[in-house]
Amino acid sequence: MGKDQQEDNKTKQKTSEFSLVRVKSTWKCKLGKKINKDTAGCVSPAKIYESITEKGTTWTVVSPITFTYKVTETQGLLDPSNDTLLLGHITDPQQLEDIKKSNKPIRRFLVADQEVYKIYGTKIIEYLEVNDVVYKILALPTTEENKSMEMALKILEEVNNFSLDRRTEPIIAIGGGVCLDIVGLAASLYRRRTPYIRVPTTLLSYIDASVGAKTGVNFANCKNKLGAYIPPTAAFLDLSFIQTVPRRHISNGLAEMLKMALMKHRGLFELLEKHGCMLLDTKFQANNSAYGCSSFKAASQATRIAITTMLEELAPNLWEDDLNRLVDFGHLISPALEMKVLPSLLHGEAVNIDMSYMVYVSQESGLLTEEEKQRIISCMVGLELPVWHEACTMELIQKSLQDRLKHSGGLVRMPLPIGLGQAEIFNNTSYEILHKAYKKWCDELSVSSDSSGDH
Amino acid sequence: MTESASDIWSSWDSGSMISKNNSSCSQQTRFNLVQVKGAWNRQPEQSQTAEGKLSDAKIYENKSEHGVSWTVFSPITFTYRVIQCKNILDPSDDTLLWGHVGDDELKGTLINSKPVKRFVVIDETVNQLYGSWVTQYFEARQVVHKILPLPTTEENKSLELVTKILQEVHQFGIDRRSEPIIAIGGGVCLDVVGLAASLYRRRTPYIRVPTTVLSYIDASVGAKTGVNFAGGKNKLGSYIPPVATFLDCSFFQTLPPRQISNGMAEMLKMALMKHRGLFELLEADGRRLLSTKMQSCDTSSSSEHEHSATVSIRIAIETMLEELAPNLWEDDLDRLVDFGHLISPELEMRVLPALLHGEAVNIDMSFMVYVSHQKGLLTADEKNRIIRCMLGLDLPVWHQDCTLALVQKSLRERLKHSAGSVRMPLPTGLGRAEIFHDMIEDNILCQAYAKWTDELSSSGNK
Repeated sequence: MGKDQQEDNKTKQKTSEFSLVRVKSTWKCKLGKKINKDTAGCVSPAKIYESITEKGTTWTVVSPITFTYKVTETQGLLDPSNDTLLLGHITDPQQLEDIKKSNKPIRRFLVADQEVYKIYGTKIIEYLEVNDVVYKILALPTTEENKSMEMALKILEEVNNFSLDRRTEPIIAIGGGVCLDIVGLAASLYRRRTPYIRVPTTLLSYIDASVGAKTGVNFANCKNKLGAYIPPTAAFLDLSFIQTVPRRHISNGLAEMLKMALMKHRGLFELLEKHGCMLLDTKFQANNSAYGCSSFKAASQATRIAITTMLEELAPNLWEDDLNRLVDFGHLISPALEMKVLPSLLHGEAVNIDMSYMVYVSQESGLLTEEEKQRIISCMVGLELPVWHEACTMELIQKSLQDRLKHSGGLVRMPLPIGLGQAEIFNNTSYEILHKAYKKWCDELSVSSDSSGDH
Repeated sequence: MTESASDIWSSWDSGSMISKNNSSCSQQTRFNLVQVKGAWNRQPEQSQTAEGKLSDAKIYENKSEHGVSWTVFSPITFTYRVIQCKNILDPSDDTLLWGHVGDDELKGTLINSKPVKRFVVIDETVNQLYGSWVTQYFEARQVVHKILPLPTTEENKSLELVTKILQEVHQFGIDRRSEPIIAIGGGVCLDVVGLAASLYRRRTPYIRVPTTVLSYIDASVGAKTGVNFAGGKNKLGSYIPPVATFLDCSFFQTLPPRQISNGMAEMLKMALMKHRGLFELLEADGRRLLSTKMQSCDTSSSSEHEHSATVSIRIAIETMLEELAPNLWEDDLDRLVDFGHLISPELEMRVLPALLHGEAVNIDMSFMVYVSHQKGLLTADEKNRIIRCMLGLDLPVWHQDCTLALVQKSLRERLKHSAGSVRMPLPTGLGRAEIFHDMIEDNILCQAYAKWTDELSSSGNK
């Protein structure tokens, strides 16, 4: 932050560095880095560098903006006595106290996925009524096919009619990844930035969409081509939503967990290997007598590791300044695949197919042993995820990798596992290896795809 | 007030965090983030590891009986350059293609590498005047280019226009990082392209080339982008600055006089808020600046009237940058640069397209000067000087559609949009101002309005 523009110092121009100091209602430029201790509390972290040339003046503005957001586990989010949904995003204790003491009604605008609303709508309304909230709930069919600017605009029209306060009335999104992405984008656009809250209701959104900054909609038949990097003020994670999620969608979420495990965490991999079936059966819930309390322990451990590993990777690179991203594993080929066969593959399923192929590439490159490869594929199958797809042709793979080159500044930046729970990014995997791996992948796995029966 | 990243997490370290679910205490750990061999690892603050790259981002983990809560702090640094230049469309000048690239070495490499590609959005009217020069520039330099002329007017300033740009950009194909979209035009053009670029791939670099006085000193030096929505000005947008803005005042030569006045309204705004010297300059030289269309504004030549153009522009930009840089994302809603922008949005949209943006701003400022005087913050003499200066700049100081009802409605909207406080910047002297948080008393507002109308309505609408 605030690095000097070294390059200016090398050229002929003289560059002056200015700090910005607050004086009553206004800001003043002050020459130099060293600021009087008296005014230290009113110095901005932003800087202006000025250099004068024969053509005129050049100013360089360096302005750091700190994004702060919370990711909070809670139980019974929709229990009227739990104030997390309404106040959990507030970090300042004084502010919290003021709100609790005030008799100003709390106002909230909520967007819920239509299907989620069918199941939880009554509970949500009860929560809001008991807490005397002035509210508007918009239930929308947030599917991948609808994930468009049109839907974001629909939300914006309603938000605009609700007269939201600019800062203190965050928009609340309740649903899966698509819902959270669209609402996030709408909120980012409204007044150039409106606070919003994510309540993920699927396993996938719980560990993936909710913990990062990305928002987006599809455009020109491409996934997430338009969007923003504005994180929510907070994400509230309540595992109990998972109990109404169909089994297939739980597998879907497990794919993203597996991704983090394969990239960074051997322990998580072993947990998924060992307890995957149980997690599917218990739906990450605590009260399953068949498995006893070990099920919830595994569930919360798995979700926590998935989240912390994801946060580790996202927080230092929130705006993707660095295009080398381990979390891109499973996301080089899957976007094209997902869009091609829409809606027959869920996001996580497409990701898994991508990962499954890449594991073959790793093994072919000598980075993984045959045994490790088998273990990974077995784990995937155990999680009831597809490991092959006929639409994932060599052409699709090649085209995806070419697009990757275009979108990633000329390098393919391919994350590949180099052991169980370890990975690195590669740029020079040969066509020969890709092709060999593809052949083997088809040979060994195309049979199992027929038996998994959901395509 | 804007805090630095380290201020924010040091206040966390002092441990006065209340757990959301009313539990009295929770265990909190602060983690640093260190990159080792391509993977980021969190490390508790206490343990110092020498190896690996340390991020500015931090994660706090809070454990309580209700579960775990993580708080992420992630600073993102926005860097952008505002570069005065001459002859930007001269094929021998590098600025348009490479002015955004800071490092001289990098510049050299880029100039020699693969075919250069650029996508340019240009205002329709600007295209009629300069389009052939732009084309010539890119052809002479063998740049693969697409120029998209669009009618970027206030009425068209919508998401539809943004979508059109996005469709064309997508079809043309640009590299994610190294091929910035170029916008050439006035404020509307720059705002619309900026928003399109912000959305594409979640962030695409873009460059602003302002061609009006207003966009030169205002739209080009800040981060804001936007379009109108549901009858509201700039209701949708982003705070993503361009990678660079190139300021070439020779574009002003083809501006109608009305547009020059329009831009000077924003200059006057900065003068009234922050800079007595600039006010006096506009008072003394305003008419000459108008008639010479602010030419030679970027040379250090010795001629007297060239000097005032140069100086006034420089002061306008510096004062604007001073106010915008520390508050790029408007975390602080107290903004002196909002002067002239409390009532004008409503007025501008209501009489669209009768008033240009700067003209609406000036009418707002003119009224607010009367409010200041009514509150005893300005003397009658100061008030009159300011109004005379405005008239000298050929700016409208009153408008029949700026009714008392519109004023009151605007201030109510302001309350809504500014987190419960009216935050009204008012001049408290020539070249200084303060922000008032309490709503103006109704009687003062009415008296100011009555006086304003009495004294100025005869000057008529523009």
